[in-house]
Amino acid sequence: MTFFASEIVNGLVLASFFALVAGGLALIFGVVGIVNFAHGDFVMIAGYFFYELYVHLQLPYLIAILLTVLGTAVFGGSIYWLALRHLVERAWYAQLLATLGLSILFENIAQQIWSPNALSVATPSTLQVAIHIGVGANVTVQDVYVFIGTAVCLICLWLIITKWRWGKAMRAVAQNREACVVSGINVKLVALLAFALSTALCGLAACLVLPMQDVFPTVGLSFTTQAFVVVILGGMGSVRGAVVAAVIVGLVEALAAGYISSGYTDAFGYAIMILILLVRPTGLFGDRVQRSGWSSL
Amino acid sequence: MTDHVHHGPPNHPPSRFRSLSEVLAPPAARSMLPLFVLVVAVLVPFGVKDAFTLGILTDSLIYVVLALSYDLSVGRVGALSLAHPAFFGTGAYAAAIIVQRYGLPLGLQVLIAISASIVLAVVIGIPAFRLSHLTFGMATLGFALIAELIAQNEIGLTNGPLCMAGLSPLSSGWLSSFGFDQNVQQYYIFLVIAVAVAVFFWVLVRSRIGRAYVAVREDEPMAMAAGINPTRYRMSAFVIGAGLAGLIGAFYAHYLSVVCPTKLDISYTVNLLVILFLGGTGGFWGIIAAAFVFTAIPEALQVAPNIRLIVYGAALLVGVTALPEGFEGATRTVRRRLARYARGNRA
Amino acid sequence: MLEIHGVSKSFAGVHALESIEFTVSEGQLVSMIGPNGSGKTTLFNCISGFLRPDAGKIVFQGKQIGARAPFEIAQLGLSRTFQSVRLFAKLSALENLLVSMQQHQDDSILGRFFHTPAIRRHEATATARALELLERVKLTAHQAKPAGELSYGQRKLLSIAAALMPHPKLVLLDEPTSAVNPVAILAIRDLLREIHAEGQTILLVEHNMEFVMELSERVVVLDAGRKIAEGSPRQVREDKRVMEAYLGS
Ligand SMILES: Nc1ncnc2c1ncn2[C@@H]1O[C@H](COP(=O)(O)OP(=O)(O)OP(=O)(O)O)[C@@H](O)[C@H]1O
Ligand SMILES: [Mg+2]
Repeated sequence: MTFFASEIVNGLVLASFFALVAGGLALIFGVVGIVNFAHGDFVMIAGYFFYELYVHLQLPYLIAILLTVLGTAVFGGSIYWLALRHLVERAWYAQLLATLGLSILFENIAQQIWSPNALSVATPSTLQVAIHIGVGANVTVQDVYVFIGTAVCLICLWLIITKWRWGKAMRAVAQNREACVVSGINVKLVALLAFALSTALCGLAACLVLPMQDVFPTVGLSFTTQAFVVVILGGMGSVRGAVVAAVIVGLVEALAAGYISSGYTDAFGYAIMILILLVRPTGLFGDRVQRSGWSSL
Repeated sequence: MTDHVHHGPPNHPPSRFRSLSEVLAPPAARSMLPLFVLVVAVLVPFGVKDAFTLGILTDSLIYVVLALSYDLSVGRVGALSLAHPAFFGTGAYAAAIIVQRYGLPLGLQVLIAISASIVLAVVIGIPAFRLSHLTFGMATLGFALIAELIAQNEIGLTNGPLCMAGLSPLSSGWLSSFGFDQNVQQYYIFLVIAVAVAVFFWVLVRSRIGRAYVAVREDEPMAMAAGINPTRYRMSAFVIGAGLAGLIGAFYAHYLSVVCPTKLDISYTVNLLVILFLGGTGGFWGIIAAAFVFTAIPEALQVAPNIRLIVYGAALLVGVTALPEGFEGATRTVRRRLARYARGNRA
Repeated sequence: MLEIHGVSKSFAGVHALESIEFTVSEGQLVSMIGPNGSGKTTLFNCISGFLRPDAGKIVFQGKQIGARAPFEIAQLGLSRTFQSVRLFAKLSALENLLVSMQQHQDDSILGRFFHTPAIRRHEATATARALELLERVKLTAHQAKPAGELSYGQRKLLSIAAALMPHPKLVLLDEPTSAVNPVAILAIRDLLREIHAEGQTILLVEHNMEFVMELSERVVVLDAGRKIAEGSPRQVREDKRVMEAYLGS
């Protein structure tokens, strides 16, 4: 029971991380209309930002987080405006290749700047205190705070999308781009905001997960593929689907790592994705009519 | 009644002028191209003596085979699979395991390697082809990752990260009777394989099957209306490509003499995608040229791997963003413009 | 040859087809007319397997085809064209025709990859047939040109030729003359008249009344997903409901 409970806690922490990264990826797919294979690299770069700010410059913990999130958003927005903007109306595989190129670029530039070695960041010791909960699992303050941080952030995201003017515009663009162009919504600006917002989520994800995960230049691609597993499972472009799928994948991977074999952790995420897709080819919350099949009439 | 009306010119007269490309490369010269390339390739070891350069050229030949076999699926039927290294690796591991455990001859190793890759492709293809586009790509990526994890973790079968060694390099008694050393022999063996695969590819894509591949890729409903079963053709392209990758994998295992789990890595997919898309998917010469350019040039220039990857990444990002049809497409466009310009001048 | 029994189909509440009934017998040329959106293309899509009817039976040569895949139906000898011309733009005119012949010869796996004598013979007959059809639609001079570079009228003719390529038992033509210039319309009319005279069974959807009245033996009229009339061209022309349907829409 103890073991099971602590695997559940691990799973939920993993799920929080997936929800932030994959939620952003879904936003980019839905609103901007890009298959972004460099998404995980923004998490990697945010990790280095955070390292520089917190370990190198020794800024206070929360200030470092705030600056990392802002910095990543500005960085993401600039990259979008400089390069990815031109991919918007292109075929998905062209987007995949070009962003894969961007990912390779990021990875190797990071290697030049920070060396290929893994860096780890220790969190303030107050966060490493264990708290005991009923079932006997060991939960650290860190776990709780990752969990709450993610929840707060997802609620903010939900508020942004549903209440804020530009957030509503994002949803409108995701539903019908042409209509928005016609009705005078500044689609380009909305896309830029959505991209910056989703890279901000990457920044936050990096800060939250860093104490548990080392950062190194090639880590981005595995974040990307995992985020795609989550987004596809949830239904492309559905942020809500991505959050639900993140919980599923997080729990499945943690339990599989705990009970079956830690060598195959990633494989279970893929396995669950493939199984669910065979039943529902457009994912859990995907549009059932559209984007199913190689081509239609 | 809701059709788009396209008023093309009613009747193009057949072009009376030869296009510039025909002037520059008349059909007779173009039909000589394969022969010319082949002669140069055969003569190379007489001019190139150092093992390093010959090794780079051999690597390029391996990439030619991998890229052409990958293009069957990616370029010909438009199914962007991300599992190709898994087939290559399966071929390599099949050869290594057979050598270590059973000591069977090379011919049998190759046959078993091809069969193993084909079986794996069918196992992956049956579920994956029920999906499409990006979900197909991600499902194949998932299977590729699982294959890599098996190579890493099933130490009893694959030695895991310790790799499998003990394969003897390729040689041929007939070639050594000419006094060629080991490197030259391997170069020629891979040249023969690459030419054989290229000819097979060429015949396949120009056959009825190749025609059906294009039909399925271009317009699936129309292909179905013509009685073509799209899934069957996609599957066949995927499986044939996997078989060819398994074949070259078996030879590659001998060439390197060790097989490691990293041979199944997705970074191979990236290299192959660079070659395919900058060489022009669904092409032939463009892909072959790109296989040499992207394998040989960085090696020959002795660029540090890291810098090379920065260049690769930038090339992929800028190339795909700016040249939608790859280099071949870009040169085609330039040729067309020049031809139009030339016609305009004379008309 | 083709029997449609009570076929219905709706899209999210829109009743595109409601209990359609009619038959086409061997050697007939039947036309289907009706105002825009009356369900003609939807019925074609049901017959050729691209849509699955919600209810009803479609029988082709004694076989139920309602649940079969499009390519299986095509292999049974039922060809179709599309309302918006579909061709393989990158393949040449000749290759477009050859693609349609792809499956109409049962061939072995080996035969698919190697040019066995049987395959070579098959290719030769297919090519001969394709050249003959190109001659008939007057596209011989353009046989090597990519289909995407032909004019609209030429593409329509080519798509009809492609549908005729495998000697289909029944061919469905969806608006062969729409958006085509008058000269090409005459060419299409002559072609249909000729192949019908040779015994080809045809089911045609058309808006061009003159064309329909001139060619058809029987006309079926749809309106808002229902069959409202059926009979000879003259009967249909004089039918009050048909006039109302056209005037009212
Ligand atoms: N795939 C679809 N999804 C939703 N509604 C559809 C679909 N296809 C057709 N419809 C609807 O079904 C009805 C019949 O359309 P259909 O295309 O069959 O008409 P038609 O008789 O061929 O018209 P036209 O003369 O314009 O070609 C229309 O209301 C149309 O909007
Ligand atoms: Mg219609």
